[in-house]
Amino acid sequence: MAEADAPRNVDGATFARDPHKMLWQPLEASLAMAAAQVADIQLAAVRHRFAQLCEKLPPLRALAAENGVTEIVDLDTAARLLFKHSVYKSYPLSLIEKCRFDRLTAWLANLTTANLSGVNADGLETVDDWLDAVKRNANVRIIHTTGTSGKLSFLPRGPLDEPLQIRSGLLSQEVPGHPQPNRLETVPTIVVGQRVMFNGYGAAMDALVDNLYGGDEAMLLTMDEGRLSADVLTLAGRLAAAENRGELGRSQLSPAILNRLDQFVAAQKTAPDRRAKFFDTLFKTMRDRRVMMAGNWSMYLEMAQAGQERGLDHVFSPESHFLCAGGTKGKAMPEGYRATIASFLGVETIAESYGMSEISTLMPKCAAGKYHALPWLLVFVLDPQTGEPSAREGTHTGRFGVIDLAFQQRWGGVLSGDEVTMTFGRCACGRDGPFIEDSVRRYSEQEGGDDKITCAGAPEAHDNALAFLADLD
Amino acid sequence: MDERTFKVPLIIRGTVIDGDLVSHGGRGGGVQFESPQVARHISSLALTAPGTMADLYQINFEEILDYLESLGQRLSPAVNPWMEQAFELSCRTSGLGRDTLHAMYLHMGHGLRRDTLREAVENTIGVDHLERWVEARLAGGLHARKRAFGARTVHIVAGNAPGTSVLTVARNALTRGDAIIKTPSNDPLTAAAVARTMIEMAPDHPLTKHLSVAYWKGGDAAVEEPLYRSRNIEKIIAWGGMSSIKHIAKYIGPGIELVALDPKLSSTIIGKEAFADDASMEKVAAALAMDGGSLNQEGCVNARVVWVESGTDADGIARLDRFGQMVFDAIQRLPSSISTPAVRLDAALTDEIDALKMSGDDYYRVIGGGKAGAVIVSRMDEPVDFATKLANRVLNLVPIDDINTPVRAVTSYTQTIGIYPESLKRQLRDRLALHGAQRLVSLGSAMGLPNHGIQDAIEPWRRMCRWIVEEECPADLDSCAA
Repeated sequence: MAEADAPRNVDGATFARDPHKMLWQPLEASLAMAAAQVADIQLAAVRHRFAQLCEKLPPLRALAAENGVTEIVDLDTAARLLFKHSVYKSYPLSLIEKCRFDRLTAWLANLTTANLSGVNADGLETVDDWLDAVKRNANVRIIHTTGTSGKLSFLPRGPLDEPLQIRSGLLSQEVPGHPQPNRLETVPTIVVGQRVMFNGYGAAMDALVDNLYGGDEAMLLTMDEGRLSADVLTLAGRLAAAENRGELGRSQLSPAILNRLDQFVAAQKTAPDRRAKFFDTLFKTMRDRRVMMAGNWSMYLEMAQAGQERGLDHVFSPESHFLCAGGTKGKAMPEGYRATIASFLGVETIAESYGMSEISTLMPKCAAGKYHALPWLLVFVLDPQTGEPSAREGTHTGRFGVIDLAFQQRWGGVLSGDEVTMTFGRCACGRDGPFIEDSVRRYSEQEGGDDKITCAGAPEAHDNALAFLADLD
Repeated sequence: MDERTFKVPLIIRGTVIDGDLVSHGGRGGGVQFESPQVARHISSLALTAPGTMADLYQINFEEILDYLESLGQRLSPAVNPWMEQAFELSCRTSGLGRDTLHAMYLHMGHGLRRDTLREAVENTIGVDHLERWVEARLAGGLHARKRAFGARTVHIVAGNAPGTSVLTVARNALTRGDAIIKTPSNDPLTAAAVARTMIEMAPDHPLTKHLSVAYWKGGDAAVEEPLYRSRNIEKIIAWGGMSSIKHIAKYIGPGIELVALDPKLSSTIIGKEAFADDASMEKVAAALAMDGGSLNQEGCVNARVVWVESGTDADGIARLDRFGQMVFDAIQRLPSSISTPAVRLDAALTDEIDALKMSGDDYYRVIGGGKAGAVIVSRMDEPVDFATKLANRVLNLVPIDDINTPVRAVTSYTQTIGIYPESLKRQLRDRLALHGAQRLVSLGSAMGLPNHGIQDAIEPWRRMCRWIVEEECPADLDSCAA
């Protein structure tokens, strides 16, 4: 129960008008807000955001019209205003092959109130170039998803929403029931990835360098100094779409990609070597030192296995901060992996959280093992078939939906592809809900697990598009 | 929700095994059913002594037809409790509506009519080749006598239409094979119900004794590793399922042949003649609705992407929009015996369609949506990026200026192409075939299953047989060697 004791410096009126300001409370203060008060703030805030954005964002207007929503009378009405995650990837893939980045920008402009008119798409040849141009010309950072086969979602994050990034990054290092971490600016961050990434992970790393480390790049211990190329991530989907259009072959992919293909293939071939070298250096130079890292279980497992191969255990200082989000990404994990990883890292516990690229902040896991929705996250459980929201009391299992009220320049409502079990009520940790059980799974995993056989179908996007392309003439 | 527990028996050559049950399915709203643990029965399920198939050669072709015809008369759920149960379970597992399934089960026996089966055999193997050694004299005087023998097979049947189980039973009987039918979770009971009817009808008949039916979860190594060996089986006939074919592929080696009716998709090409006048447009829309909407678009033969020579300029798009509305309306008019609103929506597809509806008309326009189905009209000569996921009566009309555009989009995964008008079919047929298309039909008749014996560019009837030849030299051994 002690966890619930936290400062209650809540200003309901301000938060209803500017819900993003709630992020600047200490984590415990946000978690300690009473459910009834949160519900009041959320209703006022979601009405305010809807009024701000509805006329400016055509897809939101269309969604509201489709569902007959002219005014948000209660929180259940707001549940009818969730974008399918697919709204952020409704562009035709062929725009990329045809280098029509002007049209891709125009498509994106429907999804944000940030001004994209300054984006100069002339001469852009790759998605990577486009992501850079949108950032450079309009100060809009696009967060893309990281699906390896298929199409990337592009989530625009306007300049007004940029401060959320650093703040939510710091919040995620706070663990419910534990003291706030101190002097984080002196603690280097391990990055199991590339230095330049336009996914949520990369955005968080950039925010750390700029805001926490005062621009000191040396504070990031990065596995790969290169870039996580959105073009490589989209290759599989682009090839599959090209096949559907009747354009299979290298000749139909944009020449800029083909020019860089050799480079991509070479980078892929040397990746295992580079990873090994990175771990060698990391384990040597950071031995017993305090570090930070955010990652998913498979990243941690890879690290732990690399350590075990080198006969290492308890590598870092027990004062280190490790955060795990994103679950196991559908991978089968060995038994007892959590204990193995914690022991290797040398810490008692690894903080865990639940979130997705579409929202600003991860939901932290409490001592009772539940993920708590923060007050700027208006969360819903919906019937996977009908889309009806469950009652906001008791425990329900269904599709997770959320309106992230912190976003000012994008509609924060999104319907995820996750199945969750959520409780509206008091958690065993003493805090008010809503909270989510540690049993989140993708609906797609569930459906893929059966044994239905049908004669209809076509192959999925090529698992290893790079290898496929390299062989293609 | 119906709480009835369905039991799916294991049937091994005339013996029903229904003890020692384990539970399957039941996840994510799926139906739960129980069946015996097949792994414990591998030694009896596998036919290690092929000589025991000699009993099949004690009966002649006409007697096989008698048997099948008599079986066909017993399959109506109205008179057959096993089939009634299979129908009820299918209503819970299938993507087809109850009315559609009812019509299918009611007419299930029609596929076993003697004239139908005789025509199918004559057009494929030839009755003679099944009944005797058929002699031919080759150049040089050699006598070659060919005969089609039955094989020991495993049939991985598809569950999207229950008729595939009956068809498989017929093909196995007529070719004198020994079949093990592995049933799918979307139709776990129909094949077993047919087998039980056979046991009831003629418990000791050789045809009854050479059919087994089992459910195991596809990919279960405890069953597949010991079963899929060349001393147990000679052929695996797989009706579909991308992952099931991938699972099987690792067991294919010397001695085991895979007859793969791979998962496929079908499409449509409509020439500019469709726009001659309103009456033509309506007629073509109705035919397209049949190809795209029948059996809820569950089949590989159903139209999905529809290339239309409407033109891609503003007038062309306007024409296509009007045509799209006609197609959507025609789909809604299909009788419930062949098509119904979606039984359950595919979440991923619904998400894609809903996103297009929110995203304006720049690239696509969506007519309809939800359980009724939809027509997506592309604004450029490209299908939607999720074209391979189209299901539940969702068609994508793609405007084209150049009739060669759809030819390029044909691949080895293209099964049927419905084409209007006939002259266009003849104009394109050679090139479509070269690109990979396997069946070219008049628009509106994609769903037919004529008895020409060709399927997925192969001849499954012939491939199910082992073609044995006996050769005889014209004179003595010495001259033969010379």
